[in-house]
Amino acid sequence: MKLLSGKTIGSFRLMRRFLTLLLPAFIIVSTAGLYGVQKIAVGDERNSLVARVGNIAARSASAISKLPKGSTQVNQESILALLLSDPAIDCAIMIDEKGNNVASAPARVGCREITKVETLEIPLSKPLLGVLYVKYNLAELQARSTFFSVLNFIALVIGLVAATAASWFSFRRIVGKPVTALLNAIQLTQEVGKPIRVANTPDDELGTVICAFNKMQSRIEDQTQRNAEALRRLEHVYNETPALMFSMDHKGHIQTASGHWLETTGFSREDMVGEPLSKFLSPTNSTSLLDMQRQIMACIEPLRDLPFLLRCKNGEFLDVLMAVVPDLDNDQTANLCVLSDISGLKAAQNKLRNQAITDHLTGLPNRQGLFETLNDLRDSCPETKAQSALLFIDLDNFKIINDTMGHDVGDQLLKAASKRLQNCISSKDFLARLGGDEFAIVLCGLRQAQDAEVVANRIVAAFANPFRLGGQLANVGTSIGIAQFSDSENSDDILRLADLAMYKSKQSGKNCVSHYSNDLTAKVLKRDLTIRRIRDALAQNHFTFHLQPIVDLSSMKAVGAEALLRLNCPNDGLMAPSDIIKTAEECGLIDQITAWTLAEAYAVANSDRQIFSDSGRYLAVNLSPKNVTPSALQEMLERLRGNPVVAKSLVFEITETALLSNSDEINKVIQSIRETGARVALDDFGTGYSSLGHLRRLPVDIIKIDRSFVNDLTENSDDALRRRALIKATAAMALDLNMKIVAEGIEDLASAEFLRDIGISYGQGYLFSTAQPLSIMGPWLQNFGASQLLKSSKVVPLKLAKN
Amino acid sequence: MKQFIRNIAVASSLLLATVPAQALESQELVALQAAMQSHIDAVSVDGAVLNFVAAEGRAEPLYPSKAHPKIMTMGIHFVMCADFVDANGNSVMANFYMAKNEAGYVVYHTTFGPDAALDAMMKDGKVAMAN
Repeated sequence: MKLLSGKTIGSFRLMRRFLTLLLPAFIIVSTAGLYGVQKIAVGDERNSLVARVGNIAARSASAISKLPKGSTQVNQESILALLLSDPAIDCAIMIDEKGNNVASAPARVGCREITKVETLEIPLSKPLLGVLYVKYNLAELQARSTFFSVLNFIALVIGLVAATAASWFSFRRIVGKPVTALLNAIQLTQEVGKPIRVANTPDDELGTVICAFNKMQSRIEDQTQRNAEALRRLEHVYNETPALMFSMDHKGHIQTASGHWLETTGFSREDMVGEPLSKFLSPTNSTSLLDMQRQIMACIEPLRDLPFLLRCKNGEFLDVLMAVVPDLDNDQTANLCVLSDISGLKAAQNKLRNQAITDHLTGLPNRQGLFETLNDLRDSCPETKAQSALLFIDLDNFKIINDTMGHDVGDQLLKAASKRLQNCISSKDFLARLGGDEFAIVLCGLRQAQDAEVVANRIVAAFANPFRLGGQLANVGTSIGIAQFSDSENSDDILRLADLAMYKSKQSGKNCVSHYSNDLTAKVLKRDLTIRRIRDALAQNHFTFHLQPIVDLSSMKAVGAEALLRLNCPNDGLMAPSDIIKTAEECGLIDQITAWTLAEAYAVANSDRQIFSDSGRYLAVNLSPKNVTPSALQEMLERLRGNPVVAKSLVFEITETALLSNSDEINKVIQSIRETGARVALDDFGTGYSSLGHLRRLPVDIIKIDRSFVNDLTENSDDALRRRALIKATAAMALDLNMKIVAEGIEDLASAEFLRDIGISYGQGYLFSTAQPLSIMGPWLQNFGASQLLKSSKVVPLKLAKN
Repeated sequence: MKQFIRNIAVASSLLLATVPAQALESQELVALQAAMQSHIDAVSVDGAVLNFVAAEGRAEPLYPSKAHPKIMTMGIHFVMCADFVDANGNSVMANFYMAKNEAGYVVYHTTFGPDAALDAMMKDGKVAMAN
């Protein structure tokens, strides 16, 4: 079959195969058929022939036997001659019983030779006894057989030619034509690249095949169109999506690059396609590009967040993260890589990081920044660590300046202090502000451990000069603790050890330098234990009040009681409040203790009204305004406003130092307390910087003279004389201002009498009672009087006031 | 071509395997025909073979008409047929049961008309065509 291309393929071979099967079958069947027909025909011929010969021979023999006696040989031979009329009979001989040849045919000639083959022996009956031999031949039969064979052969050849021609024609028409059309359509599809359908469809099985082929071509065409459309969209998405996408072959060469990549990097597609990946990307982690490339090509699962730097045409680099989508067939021929530009994110991260590690007031690294530096140093070589030290610097008296001169001044001081510190260290050293008035310096590259102390002393000396802050001078010292990096492996520990050393400097009188030593650890452990106890006490309500009475020195009646905080530790009993408060202030738990104190004071005053408000007594509680949180204060104020009776029975004792700070916030706190009906007492009067002149403008109701003025007041010494004079002046001033005065620390009756005589209203001290739980102090307050005082063996009888 | 030849060979083999062998030689067939004809001549009376019809108590003359070329075998014996006509010209078929002795073939039994026994034996396969 000829195709459009001129090739002869397909159906010719099919036909040859078809004929190879058909023709042998035809030949064999035809031959067999003809042979069978011939066999039957020849067989019938033979049967007829032998029947004819047998009958005629037997009848001839019978006729001869019936000849009358004495008939001549001529008569006999005449009968025999009839046999020769049959062409199948060659000759005949009649032999008598004596073996003589009686007659023969042909006459006188007979048969030349009598054999058993093709010779019929017929016995003759009386009267002529003997045997008739008839020799016959089957030449007629053979001639017929030959004739049939020739005829068969001719028929076979004609049939073969006709069958071949018919097959050829039929095959061409029925099979060849549609197959050729089919092959041409396939060939055209291959050459043109679009599905070609077959026009004519025969109404047979091949037609069904062609129909199916046409349907398949239609589906392929539809699918191809859909694929083309999908590909076009995909290309559009690939190029227009704002993502840096590319594919890479197994050699690490770029195969395709998205439009956004080109737009971002500035390269053209020609610049990139076929180029090695290394020309544009370099990993930002420790892995080599080659290893990354292998990882990308070998991946069978998607990869995410591989960090790279992407080179742009203008020489800039972008931080990118690569995601790899493996090829669908996993044959690693074209993995799709998507880059995410994280340059902005990186910049923001760096900015955030810098913000996170920077103290915004001073611009120095903060605590976090210090820890990063310490960690870097920890990871450095042992020599570097051995030659490094950490200075923990705390500004002395900063709190006072901050409280008295205001936070703005405090901030200015911190900035100025940071500059002084910076000037004291070299460029390789590291200065950080830890928070508040705490700084840390990491000293690197020290030749010897003592060099750290040199630097520390230089700092102490630098702070000897006062700071000029807004026209005021402020003296600030530095307490410095030094820890060597060899003291501990842990960054937190190093800082903690330096902090301990600084603590030692504070304990040693401030403005000095201390080294960390192992004995500090015990102190730290004790401090940690105290912190734990405070936390437990807050959580499990181990705090309690012990009340110390305040007595009217004239009537010797209890007019109130001061609630003193105690920590009732289940294992160790009562703990001294001084340790608790100091540690709580250091570790930031004082706010919670203050909140508890306020709530508990209100609860006691409210639940025991018969002891306090109903009996005209008051309950005093210590308050540090800077330690009370706004929420706790608000809660307390709401309670007091809601219960004026209880409010009037409460006195909040505020230290002189706190009151004199002149802070607006503290003033607001005091004002809001007084507005509820509660009173405010100036505690520890005389220990601060206040003067009698200050009393006129202080918003207080009660003044509590510190015990340091009251102790041994009746001694005959200059000091006692001066204290007595001061107390007298204070009493006179208080009287003018309509304030009550409480003298703390009265331990003897003489002092009490003296104080009463100079006009001091109330007294408080061991003379009357130590601080006791409410269960004891409640009845005490109600029952106390001069008589109880006189019962005490050590007590000297007190002369009651005349009025 | 090889396949073509192979197909021819396979088909020929199948065909040859189905061709039956020749049962009797022509020599014997001629002798049998001659023996039957000799017998008919020998027992003929005035050119007719007499068929004794026992039920009617008469002999019916039957005249030889045509010998059948087909010969049947019955074991070692043979059965041959010939057509006769009666006096009215009706055809009557005769069956000659023949055996071979040392002198040749002899008829040992003759039937005229329908031969139920022969039909039954043919049906049972005891009698088959010899040629």
